[in-house]
Amino acid sequence: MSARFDLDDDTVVVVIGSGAGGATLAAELGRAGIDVVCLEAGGRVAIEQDLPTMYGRVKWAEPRRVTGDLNAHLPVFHGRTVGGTTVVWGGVALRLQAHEFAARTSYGAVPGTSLADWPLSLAELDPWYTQAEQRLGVTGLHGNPFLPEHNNAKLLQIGAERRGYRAVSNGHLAINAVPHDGRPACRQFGFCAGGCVIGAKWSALHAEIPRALVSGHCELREQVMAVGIEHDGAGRANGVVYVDAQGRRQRQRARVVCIAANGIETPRLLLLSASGRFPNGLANGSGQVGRNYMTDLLGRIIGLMPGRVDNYRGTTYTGLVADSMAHDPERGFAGGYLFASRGIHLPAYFNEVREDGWGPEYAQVMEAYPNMASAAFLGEDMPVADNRVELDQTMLDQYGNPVPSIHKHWHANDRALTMHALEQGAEMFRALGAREVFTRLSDVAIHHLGTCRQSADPDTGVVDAHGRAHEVPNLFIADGSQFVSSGAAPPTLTVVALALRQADYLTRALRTGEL
Amino acid sequence: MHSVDVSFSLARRRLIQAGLIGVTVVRVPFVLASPVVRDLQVFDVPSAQILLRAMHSLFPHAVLGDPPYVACVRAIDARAQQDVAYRELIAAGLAQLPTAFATLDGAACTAALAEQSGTPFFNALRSAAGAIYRDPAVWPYFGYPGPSLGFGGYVDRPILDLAWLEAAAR
Repeated sequence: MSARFDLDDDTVVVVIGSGAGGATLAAELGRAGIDVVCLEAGGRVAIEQDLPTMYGRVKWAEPRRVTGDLNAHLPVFHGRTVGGTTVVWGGVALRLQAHEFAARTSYGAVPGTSLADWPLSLAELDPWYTQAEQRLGVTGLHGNPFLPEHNNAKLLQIGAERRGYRAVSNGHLAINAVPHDGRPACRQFGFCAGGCVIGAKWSALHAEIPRALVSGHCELREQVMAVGIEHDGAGRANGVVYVDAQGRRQRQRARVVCIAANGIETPRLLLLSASGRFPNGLANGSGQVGRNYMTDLLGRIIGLMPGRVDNYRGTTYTGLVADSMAHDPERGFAGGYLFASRGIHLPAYFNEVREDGWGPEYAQVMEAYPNMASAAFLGEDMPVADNRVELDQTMLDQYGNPVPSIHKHWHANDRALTMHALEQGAEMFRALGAREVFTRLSDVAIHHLGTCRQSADPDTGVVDAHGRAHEVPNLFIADGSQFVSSGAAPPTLTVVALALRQADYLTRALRTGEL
Repeated sequence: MHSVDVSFSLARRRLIQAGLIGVTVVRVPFVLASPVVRDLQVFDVPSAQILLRAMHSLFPHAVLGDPPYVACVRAIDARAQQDVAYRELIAAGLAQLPTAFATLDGAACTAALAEQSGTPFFNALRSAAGAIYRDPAVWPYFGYPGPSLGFGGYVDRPILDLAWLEAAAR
């Protein structure tokens, strides 16, 4: 089943990261008969229905320095586990929209941003999106039924309809309404975001890692931390240095290196891999590695309803309102946003309304838990050159490497979009008779995008439209780092579609001997 | 002394009788005096009483009685045994509270805590008190049944039951 390769085997493709991008890429390359060594910093975790400890067990917990508008006391969240962040993703699987691929053209010049168009259009990515949707079994598409409606999802849909929205649905989710791809149908446990115990939710852990291993062409090495990428005299990547679970430094030779370590660790690894030939970091001649960091805008809307909602029941994110995803300059900001219903368990509800709430009034809000309806909005986040990931030379991690310094300030457009989304979200809940509505922008980043952006011109980005580094021909980026704009949809489906497209490109290039 | 909101407790009992809230592990405090938490490793009895009063004041749910809040105080004590900086933070913070804090009425406790709001000491206390919501023993009171794996999820159970919304629409 699982293949094994020698450290000196220089015919393998080394994939760094086992999440949405890395595992999908490994599975597709393996299926095509290409040998892959997949490196994962974390180990396997047993999934239990206990949100606080689940997040603790899967999160990337290495120290970081965080400045700007993100909460410096909370983790910049992504996974460090077999399956990566997909273990705890919500499952909302939507495409980016045509205008978002042409963000600079669509929005015009927005002062203070580094807006650019993707070197890729929706039309070019369309067949890969279709493949991704079929692979993930996205509900409501390609003949897949929708998941059953539940109170929290239905309330959002009814509230939206009362406010005149039309693009309202019970969700396009990568959660099986019926058995699909060897994984069972959802049992409505209500713990999607803590990890699906039965694998009804698509994740790299449940779908792509097994597919990769079954191919017989993939070796997964767990609990190994990549700390550097090496290159030969011609500037081609030829190996990955990592520290294994026993603390030993190892070097895996490679024919091709693909990085899918999420938007913080991917640019960090390139910066850590600086050399005489690449003094500013590997593949960083443009100076764009680590820049244009986007998190998506994420806000919470909570309404205390006249009757019971019991929103811990059933799939966490379900109902969707997509009307506001359109770009409508009349609203006074660029880009759009999505509403999704969002279930909250009691232990998490404690910090949802306010992170500093307390006292008799807050206790009353807590006692209203059964009547609580909740939704989230996800909005397009403007790229800004100085929102970036750098190395902090004053602070070292357990491997002796500088930690990432993460800087993120909200742009005026972000604030305007957020205010609009929160106001409109509150109105939907008021239209249902909510006696109190609480809204706030989340200051915890869960999506990490743009830090190795695609570009047609090597001077303005890090990789091309296939995720191939402009400066290092056998180095690829396979995660959300390559996004040029964040869009208003969650990034996962796009990461998968890009990985499928990249796997096809790589397979052909390897077969023809170009790589 | 605890001020127990008797009317609230009665309302709660009516809800239980009406079958609207599960009856599991609901503790109605008939004893008005705080139990004395004597066997802590770090904090003496007066400090323990202040901490217990603070836990109640941060998230007052009178009907829960003392046990979940006592558990918070024990957790503070356990962490203080391991973590010197935490111990010093709590000890220094306690010294900032009125000496009679444990016997003040609810409003006075709230006011005294409000003066500490935003300080590391206050944040540490809030974080500790928030543990009550992770205590499975209190979940039935909040209408939260916890993990659904044990009964196979909600797939065969009602999850769409918005009679109140339909009634309001009529």
